[in-house]
Amino acid sequence: MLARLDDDGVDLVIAPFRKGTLLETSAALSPPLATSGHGEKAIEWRAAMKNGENRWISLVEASARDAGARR
Amino acid sequence: MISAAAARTHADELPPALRETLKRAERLEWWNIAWTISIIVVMGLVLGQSQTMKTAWIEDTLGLVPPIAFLVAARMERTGQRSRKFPFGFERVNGLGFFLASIALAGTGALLLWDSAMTLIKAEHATVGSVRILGRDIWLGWLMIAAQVYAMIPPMIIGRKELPLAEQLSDKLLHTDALMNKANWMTGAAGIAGIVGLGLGWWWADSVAAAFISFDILHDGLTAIRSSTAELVDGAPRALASAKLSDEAEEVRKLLEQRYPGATIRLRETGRLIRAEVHGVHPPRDYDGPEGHWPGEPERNWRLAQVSFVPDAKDK
Repeated sequence: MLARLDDDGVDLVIAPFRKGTLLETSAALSPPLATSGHGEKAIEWRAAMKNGENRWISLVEASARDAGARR
Repeated sequence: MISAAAARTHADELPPALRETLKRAERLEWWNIAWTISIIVVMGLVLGQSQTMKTAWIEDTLGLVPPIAFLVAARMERTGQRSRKFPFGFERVNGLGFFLASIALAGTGALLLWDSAMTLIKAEHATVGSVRILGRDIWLGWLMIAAQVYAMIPPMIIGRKELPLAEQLSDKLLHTDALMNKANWMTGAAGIAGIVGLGLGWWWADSVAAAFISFDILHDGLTAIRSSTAELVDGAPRALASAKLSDEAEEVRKLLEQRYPGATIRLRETGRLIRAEVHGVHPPRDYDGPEGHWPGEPERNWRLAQVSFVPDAKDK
């Protein structure tokens, strides 16, 4: 699914990521929507988006912060 | 044991007004360093994932090289006394600093050109997200633009103030720093254009703007390298702002050729000073020192520090 972000087939993928995952450079990741676990082994649920889609990224980031704040 | 005359520094031999100008230039460079450090901190806070911003940040860091080199050179000129190990003093430290500054300037241009070319070739789409400040989501691009505007103002003002001082002091190192400041504010302008372009969806805008500017910076840097290496290998004195021969030095050469027909004239530059060798003739009986061989305005005659005569071996 993440590979399809670059093909314009998918706009958004919500998936679990380990903290500091390398994917952060190949796709834009939103702030965590939810977190499970603690410390280095913590898993964060984030929205991944295609790099450069800045208006879309900003919109999703704002929604993710709101969602994260409600939890 | 060093005699009192030998213990003088290079700066002691400059006119008092010029020593004052040198101190003003030093004070300006301290301000330059302070502002540059503040810019590095501010830019570092809003870097994000933008490669252009990272490049601009590296360039701002490289911008510290010329003022530091100038301050080291000026301090050695003012305080470095001649000794057995350094019998000619430290006037050429300025030339060494000029070489380092020209490398930093050319490096800045090359880095900017490389970064923009790679971004265009790879068609990298820079991501500029948002941050939440005081409960409001703010596009990081606005903060980047604010940081770039802040990063443009000090180099614009300091660079303009440096130019007249560099001319008065015939200081190519200070002049190169003025060019470095110009490079920094122009990069800032390209950065702003790029961020605005990203906001409009033109991912290529910042790279194209940066590539255009990088040619200008690289050209200035390579010119400075040519001029500084000429000085280090005892080439003829070069102009302040180009690698062409200095007009003042050319006037000196013409005067020496007129006054000593048939002699071979060799000129070189040590820091801000011109030194002349007149080969093939003996010194005249009424030799009136280097200042008597200065063809220009008297207040600039400090530039010609030495006129030496080297008769042919058979005439000695």
